[in-house]
Amino acid sequence: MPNKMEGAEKSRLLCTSVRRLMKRRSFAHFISYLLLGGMSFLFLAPFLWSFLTSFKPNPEIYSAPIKVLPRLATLDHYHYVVTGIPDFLTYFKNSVVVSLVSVTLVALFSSLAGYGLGRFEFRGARVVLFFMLLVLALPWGIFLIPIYIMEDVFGLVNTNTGLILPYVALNLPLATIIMRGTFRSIPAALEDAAQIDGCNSFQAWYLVMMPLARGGLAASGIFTFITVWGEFMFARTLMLTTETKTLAVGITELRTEGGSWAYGPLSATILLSIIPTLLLFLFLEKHFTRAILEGSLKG
Amino acid sequence: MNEVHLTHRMTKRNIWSPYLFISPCLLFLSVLILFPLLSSFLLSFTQYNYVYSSGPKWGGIANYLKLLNDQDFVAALRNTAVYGILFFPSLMLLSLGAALLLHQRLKGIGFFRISIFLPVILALSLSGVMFQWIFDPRFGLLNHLLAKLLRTHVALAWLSDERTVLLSLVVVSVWKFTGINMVLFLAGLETIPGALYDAARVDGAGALQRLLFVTLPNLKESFIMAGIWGIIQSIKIFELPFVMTGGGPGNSSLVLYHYMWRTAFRFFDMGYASAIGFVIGGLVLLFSILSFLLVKTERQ
Repeated sequence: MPNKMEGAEKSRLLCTSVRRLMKRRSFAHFISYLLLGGMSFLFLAPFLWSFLTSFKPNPEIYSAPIKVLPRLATLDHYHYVVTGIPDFLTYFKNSVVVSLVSVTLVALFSSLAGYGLGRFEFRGARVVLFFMLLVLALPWGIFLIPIYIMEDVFGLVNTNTGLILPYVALNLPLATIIMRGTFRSIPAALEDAAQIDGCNSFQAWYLVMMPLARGGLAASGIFTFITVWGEFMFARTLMLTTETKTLAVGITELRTEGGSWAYGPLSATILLSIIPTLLLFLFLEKHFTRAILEGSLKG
Repeated sequence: MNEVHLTHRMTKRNIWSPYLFISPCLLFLSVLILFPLLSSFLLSFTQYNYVYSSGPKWGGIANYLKLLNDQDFVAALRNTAVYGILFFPSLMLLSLGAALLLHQRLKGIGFFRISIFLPVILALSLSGVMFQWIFDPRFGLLNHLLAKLLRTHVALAWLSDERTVLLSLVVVSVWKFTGINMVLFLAGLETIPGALYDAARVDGAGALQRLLFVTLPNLKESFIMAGIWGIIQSIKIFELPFVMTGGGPGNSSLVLYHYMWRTAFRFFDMGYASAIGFVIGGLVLLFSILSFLLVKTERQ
């Protein structure tokens, strides 16, 4: 009998302590949710605000006091952006072309150079690496003035090429350093095996190493894409005609003739412009983290 | 044994292979990075107006001396410093806080992480446009929400008031960049072994003590990485004031980078602008080297 009593006592004690723990836990969780909810709201609010405004008819946008929720939802602004602002589609096309070509060239050149630097010992390798690290720390503005003069001399201002060339050069150092690290982490035995099978270095790179370096390639590719898609200073300086402007610059100039913003079309354009990066983000979130970690090397 | 074998094979490979691999990259870097870097350095010692001068004329360190007496440059330096002093601690505190909150096993944590990270993927210039409108005195969301909260009429002109303009830019920058630093801190938190927390618990450490004596000391590397990044970001601020205020009202939000850009591409004074560029580059390098030394002494 006493034995049974003791068991009951024990389980009662256990129950209360577990309950107390649960209480403290759930209180801590409650506070966490509260803080996280508040933060998320603040970070999402501008997007929500744009989203709601993009569906509001003009009288609701410019009413005093403003109304947060739309009474009558309308797709007019989207329709207007796509059909009524021919520039928007041009900007979009330019952004897509410039980003895709830049990312492709950076991926190709950085994986070649990363392999050369990571897998060979040769004279000058240290100098090249040091130079790349130095470039990472320097602000891009330093290169802008001579590049502008050069492009002006060679007639590259106001051409897509004139934007792609500096983007490739500016993004290469970081991408190459990421790829170098990726190649160095692949066991040498695999490469040796390829060479025994009669591959030359180029074939070893292409057939054996590249498929194993996909993670690094994704990380550097994502980082290059976000950088190029949102780059402002070079695009604003080198592309001065509507035919060659990119979204990051073009949208900031979509004002009415009076110089004020047309908020309805503006919010629609912002939301449309974010779609490519958003898709990339949602499908490759894991690689994003890696891209940020490796990219934070960059100054 | 293996080592010898490997170097042997390395010598057998064509000695030109590595140069072939790095050649496309080197070509780009020398034409579009190294050459501009050197020419910009030389330009900074010349008088060269791109529109009126026939060519650059050697001027020695005149440009650098001119900086010392240039009211606009001093204003830009001061504004950049004030911006950095406000921006940097807010960024670090908020991103660390977010990372600590997100480093828990809670339901729906992914949603919170994504929403704090979302501004990172929006172009910086577009964030500027979006917030310019949120700060709008009449149709902006901020004044509307404040009015609801305080139950009075609020018509603050955030961006055209000298007292609030830098603060407004800081708010947008923090909104935009917290996500990046949060990822850096989260990665640091992942590497702290759970056993350390268990040991601290056994020793009777409470939540606050665990934070102060286990979490924070083990986050040192993340702090340094995030710190370097934040400082460089503060010196490099350009897009937001460019798009949102144009440096105004007056010179109250003119920053270094914007001043360089204006000198080069509004007034075409390429020599003077290059000198400003090298001052900015020097500041960035100085802070990077300082932080790098900090990492080094930390590791030893």
